[in-house]
Amino acid sequence: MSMEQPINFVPGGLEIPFLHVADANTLFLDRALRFEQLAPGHAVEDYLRFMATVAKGQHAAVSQMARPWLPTLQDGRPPLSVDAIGFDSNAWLGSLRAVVEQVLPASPTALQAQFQPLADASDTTLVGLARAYFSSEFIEDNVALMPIVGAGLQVYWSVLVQQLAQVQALPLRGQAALDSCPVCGSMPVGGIVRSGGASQGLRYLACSLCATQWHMERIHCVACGDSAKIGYFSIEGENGAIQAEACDACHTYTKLGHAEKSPGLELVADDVASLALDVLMGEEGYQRYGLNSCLLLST
Amino acid sequence: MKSGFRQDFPILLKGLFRYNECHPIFFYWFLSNTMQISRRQFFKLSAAALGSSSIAAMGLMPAQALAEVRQFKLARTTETRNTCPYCSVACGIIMYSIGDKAKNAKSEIIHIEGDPDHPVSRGSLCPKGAGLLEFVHSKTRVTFPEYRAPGSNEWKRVSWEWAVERIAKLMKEDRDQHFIAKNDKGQTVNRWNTVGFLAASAASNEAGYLTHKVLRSLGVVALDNQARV
Repeated sequence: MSMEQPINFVPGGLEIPFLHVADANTLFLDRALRFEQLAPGHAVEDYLRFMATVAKGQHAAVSQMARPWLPTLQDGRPPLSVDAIGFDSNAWLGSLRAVVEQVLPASPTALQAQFQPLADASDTTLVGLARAYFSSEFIEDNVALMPIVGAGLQVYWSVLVQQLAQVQALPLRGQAALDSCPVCGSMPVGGIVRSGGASQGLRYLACSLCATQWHMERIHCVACGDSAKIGYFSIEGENGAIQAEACDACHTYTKLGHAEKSPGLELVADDVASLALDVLMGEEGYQRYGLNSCLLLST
Repeated sequence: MKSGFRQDFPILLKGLFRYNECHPIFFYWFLSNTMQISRRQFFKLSAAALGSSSIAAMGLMPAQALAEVRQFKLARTTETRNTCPYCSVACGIIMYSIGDKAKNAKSEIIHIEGDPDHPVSRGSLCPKGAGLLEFVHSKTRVTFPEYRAPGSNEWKRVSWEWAVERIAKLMKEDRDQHFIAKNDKGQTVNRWNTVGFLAASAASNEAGYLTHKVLRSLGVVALDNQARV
């Protein structure tokens, strides 16, 4: 697979690679293509197509992005956490504006009017929106803008993590809790059971912000760590490429995609496209652990 | 003794680290004391919640979308870790089963494969291990003790109690007859070498300890299990 650089890859070896850092140069293009592939005939076809537009905007923004500055690394916290990057620096504002600039003209007319405030927004307003995004404060007034805000932040963080990988300053196994990204501290989108190489059949959680994937043992609840009461739900009659790994100890589930069962699987896109599974899980009484900037709920 | 926040603080921190359901983010928050950002958020999606989603807010939720979602049903499977029973390599396996135990449905193993997380086998299985599903569902699989009397050609189902008692009786008979307490030089040897014992393969340390403890105490010398590989 060209899109990722396995870290500490041992061909045929027994060592489990802890992290896979996404290649920001292909990540968003692959996502856009997957959204387009999943869209035809889908219940929310137009939305999936628009998310493809957003991902294409992200791809263009990556190529425009200047080499980001790496924060001073501190022990004891994810190196690229938002606390480390800070809200005072406007380092990530450029990527956010670049994504808005790309997405706005490519959007349907009705949406252009809706997103215009983002293009007109002051730095202070954008910082406010980013703060709300990071603390998952999604409300009726901002929930339509948040996928774009998230998209802008993802561009910055996915390039930043590549920088970190180049200077070999990535966290090691055991240095962080596994329920959030060891690199940036964000929530995962969900999990992927990878196919091929040293990570064949292993479950990795994919970061919702920097797209880094980290290894977490299968059949363990991501939210509470329990391994005794795990069940796997999928849509009856489908091949189970997308499952909900549900824990009856904490009544939480995390989405799980199986790369082997679904060639071209891209977790963010496949997660949105399988929202019927989320609705059924919600109606079974399970709450979701996993954040996807492309599908947000206002409270 | 005086007690206050300053004194309690280290204890408080210790508590936060001890319970793994409590995320270390709280610790970062105490340290940085800037703003509180919670990385743990739970959402409950439902048909109603979708009405307040980013899809609906962008006006891209068609009226029939919910009806389409509603036509689907959930299927549940369970994955269970275990150890291959064949040999002492003790490869990790994952057994996939259907049937919701919570709903009292009959569960059935539908698939078995190597456990990629297992530190020894990392997901690989030998042909015997790969055929475990056939072993589990084999029509000739023996799930209870049977007895064929000398001279008979018929197997009879017996209880475990009966089987254990019968084996113990025969062992005692043989041991009483053949036990060697001293060799021809008069040295104490305490051997019982007319009986051999083949122990389990994928046994735990504890089972291995007990096997040795029991059999060596009886004087058995022909003792083997697959742990020697």
